[in-house]
Amino acid sequence: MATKRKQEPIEYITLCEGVTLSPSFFEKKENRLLTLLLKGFIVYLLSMGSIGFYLSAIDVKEYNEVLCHLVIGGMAILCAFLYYRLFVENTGYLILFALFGLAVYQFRIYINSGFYALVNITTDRASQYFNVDIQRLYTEQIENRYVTITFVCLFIGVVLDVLLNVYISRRMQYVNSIFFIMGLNLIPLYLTEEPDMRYVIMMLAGVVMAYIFKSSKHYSPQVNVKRDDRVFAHKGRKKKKNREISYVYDIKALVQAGIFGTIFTICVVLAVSAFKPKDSFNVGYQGNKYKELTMAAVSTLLMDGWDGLYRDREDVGGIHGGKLGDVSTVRLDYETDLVVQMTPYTYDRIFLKSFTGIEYVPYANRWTSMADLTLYDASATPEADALKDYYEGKGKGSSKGVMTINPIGVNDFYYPYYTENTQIEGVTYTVEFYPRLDENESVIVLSDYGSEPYTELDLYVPPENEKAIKELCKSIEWSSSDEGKVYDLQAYFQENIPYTIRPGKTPKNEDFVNYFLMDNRKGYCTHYASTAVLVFRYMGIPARYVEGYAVDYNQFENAELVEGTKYEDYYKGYSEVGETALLQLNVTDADAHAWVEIYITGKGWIPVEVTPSGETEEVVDFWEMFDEVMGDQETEGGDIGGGNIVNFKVPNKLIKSVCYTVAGIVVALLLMLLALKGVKVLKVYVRYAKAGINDKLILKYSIYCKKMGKKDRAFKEKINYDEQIEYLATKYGCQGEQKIIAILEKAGFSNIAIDEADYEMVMEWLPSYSKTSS
Amino acid sequence: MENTFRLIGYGLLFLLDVLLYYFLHSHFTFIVMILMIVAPIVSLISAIILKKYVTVEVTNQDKTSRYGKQNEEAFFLIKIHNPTPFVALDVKMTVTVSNTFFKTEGTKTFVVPIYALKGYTLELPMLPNLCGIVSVKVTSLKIKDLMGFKFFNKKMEAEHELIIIPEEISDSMEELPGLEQGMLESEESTKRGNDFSDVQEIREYIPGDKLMSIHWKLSAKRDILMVKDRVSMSDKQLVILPELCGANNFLLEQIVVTTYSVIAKLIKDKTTVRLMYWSSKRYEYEDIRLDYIEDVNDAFAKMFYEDTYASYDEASSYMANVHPEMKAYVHVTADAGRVTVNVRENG
Repeated sequence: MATKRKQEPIEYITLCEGVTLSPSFFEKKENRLLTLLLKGFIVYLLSMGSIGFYLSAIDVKEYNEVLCHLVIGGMAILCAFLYYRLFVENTGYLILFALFGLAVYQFRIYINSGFYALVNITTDRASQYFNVDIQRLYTEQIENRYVTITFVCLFIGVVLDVLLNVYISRRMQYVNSIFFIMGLNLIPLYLTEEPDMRYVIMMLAGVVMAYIFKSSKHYSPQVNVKRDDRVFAHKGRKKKKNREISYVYDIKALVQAGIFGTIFTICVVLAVSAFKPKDSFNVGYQGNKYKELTMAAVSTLLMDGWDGLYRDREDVGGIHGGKLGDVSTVRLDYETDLVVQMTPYTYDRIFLKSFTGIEYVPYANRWTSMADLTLYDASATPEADALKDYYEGKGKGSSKGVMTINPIGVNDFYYPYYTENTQIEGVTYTVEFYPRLDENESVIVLSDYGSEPYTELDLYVPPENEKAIKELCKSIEWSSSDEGKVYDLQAYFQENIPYTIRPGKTPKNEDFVNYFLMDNRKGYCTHYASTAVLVFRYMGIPARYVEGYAVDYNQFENAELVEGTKYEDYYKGYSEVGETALLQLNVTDADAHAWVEIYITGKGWIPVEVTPSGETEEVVDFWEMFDEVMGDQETEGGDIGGGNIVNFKVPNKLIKSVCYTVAGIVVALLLMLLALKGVKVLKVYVRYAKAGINDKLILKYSIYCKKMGKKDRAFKEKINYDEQIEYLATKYGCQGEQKIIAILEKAGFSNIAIDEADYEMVMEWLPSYSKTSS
Repeated sequence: MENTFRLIGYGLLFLLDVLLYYFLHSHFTFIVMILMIVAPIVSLISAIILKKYVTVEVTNQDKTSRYGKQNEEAFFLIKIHNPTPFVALDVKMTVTVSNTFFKTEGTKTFVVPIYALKGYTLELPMLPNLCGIVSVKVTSLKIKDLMGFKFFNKKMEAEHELIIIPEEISDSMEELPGLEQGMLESEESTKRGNDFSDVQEIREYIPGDKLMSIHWKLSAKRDILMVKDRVSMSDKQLVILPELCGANNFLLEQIVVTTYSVIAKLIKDKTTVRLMYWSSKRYEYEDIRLDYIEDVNDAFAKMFYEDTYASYDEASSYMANVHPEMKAYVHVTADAGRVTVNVRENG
């Protein structure tokens, strides 16, 4: 907290023997508010430049930029104005901190979510740069990033405003400021993400201005020079003979120098960008060996944190084992799990299954594998048998495929649907399969399952889940057919429960499906597949939970061509895509998937996709979004679009909180102004009470002059008693002005005390304000 | 030293940026690197151009008058003209203030900015405690470049003088009893209201002569009207001779102020005065007839250009030889540490 220093008296400075510099030289004053405004502007350039630098570098556009500029700029200037007076600084900071703390408390969820959003986005960028998967993503309680990022920008901006003002307004400490604003901005630079030129210019212009002002030493260092408005000061040690008379600050010169610095910065930035454009800057750059040395460590640190070194990596390598709910975020390493050689034959998704879950165990949050249940004959493949018969009978649209699978990153065996023999051995194995395509979809599966095609377990819904499933089923208008029901559920998920790879862990003592449906209402494939199985079962459709890999047709575009092989060796019969070469495809854990199998009479067990697509967020207007947020209080929280925008439940108190915060800020500011005014008045009263009669008269007279000066500009220009009293006498026709002047001069300049009668005479003589105003 | 530290600091920052550029190979660090290379060059060039084109003019606020008054504020204006679009925030201006008459001099450094395309005007309100000629001279401008690396020194010769007229002492005549003590009989007569005149020659009466001028005794003897051709002291004028002795500035100032006050008083009483002073430069008396107060200011302005000398009776010592016709004069000098005003008879 700043401390007050004794006011330095005006000195008489001898220029040479017989010539002194008149004290009136030091009476010249500068409008210090303008200087503070300039400092506030520098702080705004630095703080907003820094924030914009980071956000534009990591390509975040979903925030209200204009609002950030306005609030951060306004706060920077407000913080700068706090340095006007010591009292204002001390009390102003306290009030500011209190209000800021209140605002942060009120909007903590938004700020927290915004922070996590930025961390997650940065981690995404890092994962792209390092070509590895993120290991640490945070749950954003509010997924509407447009709102949360705006909040966090405002929060960071205000913090930066306060901190940078300490450095800039006091001592123009540009070095500290650079470290502050550039600290975090090194992260996107490390990830080779370049910022928008606007923010580069803002930040550099701020630094250049601060550097120029610091070098000139004429920025009014508040600590050394008292907080008065004098333009000139006698600088240097008092014992020093030739002390300089130096101007303290000059707003015109500072503005000109600032403009010069800004124009220069803009010219350099534009010239460099024209000569070496940002986009092509790193073309042909081979990298730096020292940076490469750090990359492994940095990637681990950025994505796994310190615990990354000790992290159990069991959960990489796809989805397997039917374990649910223990994953906060789907962590992808993009390492190859399977190498598959095949010829593409369909535009539809190809499933490679491994795990089939039969029984859902609530609260244990896992599926019991079919392989663990003796009730099932895993070797029975009636669908494959039927399709094989159809193929061998040269049925229309029938086909046979061969697939070579090399599981290099996983331990389980994976195989495509309608594979005849699933008893697979060996490191690299080849399977034959009989695809079910549009052309042969109508093939009727009549093959014997040995017993029933499905058991009671395939229709079992745990009682613990019944309530949630029942409520879900109630909210859907179901079609009559089983296939129709599948589409109904797909549509419901697509519209109501957004897809995310960051659903957060299922809390302890919570059921995976119930938590997904009742509370979290967001998730990834295992959530949808598990829930869908129970829903289908509840609707009377036998269903199973399946894990494995899903390969889309477009992935073949990046597949490698396998030379020296014949198409016929790998595919025969009808193909939707026509005859193609044999391709080798790397299947990574990004392709890991969970889906559902349902039993349709006549078709047997068929795979069903219920996971909705994850789309990019819609960018909507901040205030529209905010309105929506406010409006949604009336409803129970619907949903927004089909993207990742989650319609979050807004606390009912939110609108009140906003109003209270704004009202609190306004009231606090008013109180502060009133307090300042009150302190001033109190000081005058104290001085008046302590003063002798001469000082009392002069004090009253000075107050009178101040008030009169506000009403009458001509009076304000009168600078001494003679001029003032004579002006009043002339204007208002008062008599006896010489006597009044004499009393005032006696009271003001002599040590002789005036009489009470003199005091009264002067007071009575002075024209009243009402008279003057008339 | 300060500039050296700044250079070292700048160099370290530049080195840091170069290392970051080498390490990150980022477009941003490249921009910063170029900016840090170009900025000092532009800064130094702007300061060099400023140094080349900047000019200084010194004037006083009231250009119509070359006079100021002792113990009253006199305003000097130091105008820095800058025709260039460059601005300077730290310009050290060395200003020498001197009183040429009293041989006093002092130097002060003023730090001011220079606005682009305009310059700067420094208004110096000065309080001259001594009369004489106050000269304000700007001897040099040290322009620091915006980045604060170097001062560029430019020698200057801009100067302006203001003649400071002594402050009139209103009761000078009363406070200086020496004048009355040393009065001649005729002067005392004048003080009593009698005709204060002296007989220069006796000649024959010419019609028109005043009757009171007739020398009745001689006319009776010669039987022809003879008249006393009187020459009024006011025609001959009162001579005031101050001693411009510079041995002690305080006394010299008192001598000048007293001289001025006496003359001013006499002129206000409509008495023509002759100011005589010894010019040690030309080794002769300067003799100035003063009819009006404006003449007094000019005369003193001229006197202030003289050199002072060492002795308190130097001017009076030559009077008998140089001006033997002069019978008496008012001698303003100092004795025993105080100013004296005496009427001295010549010879």
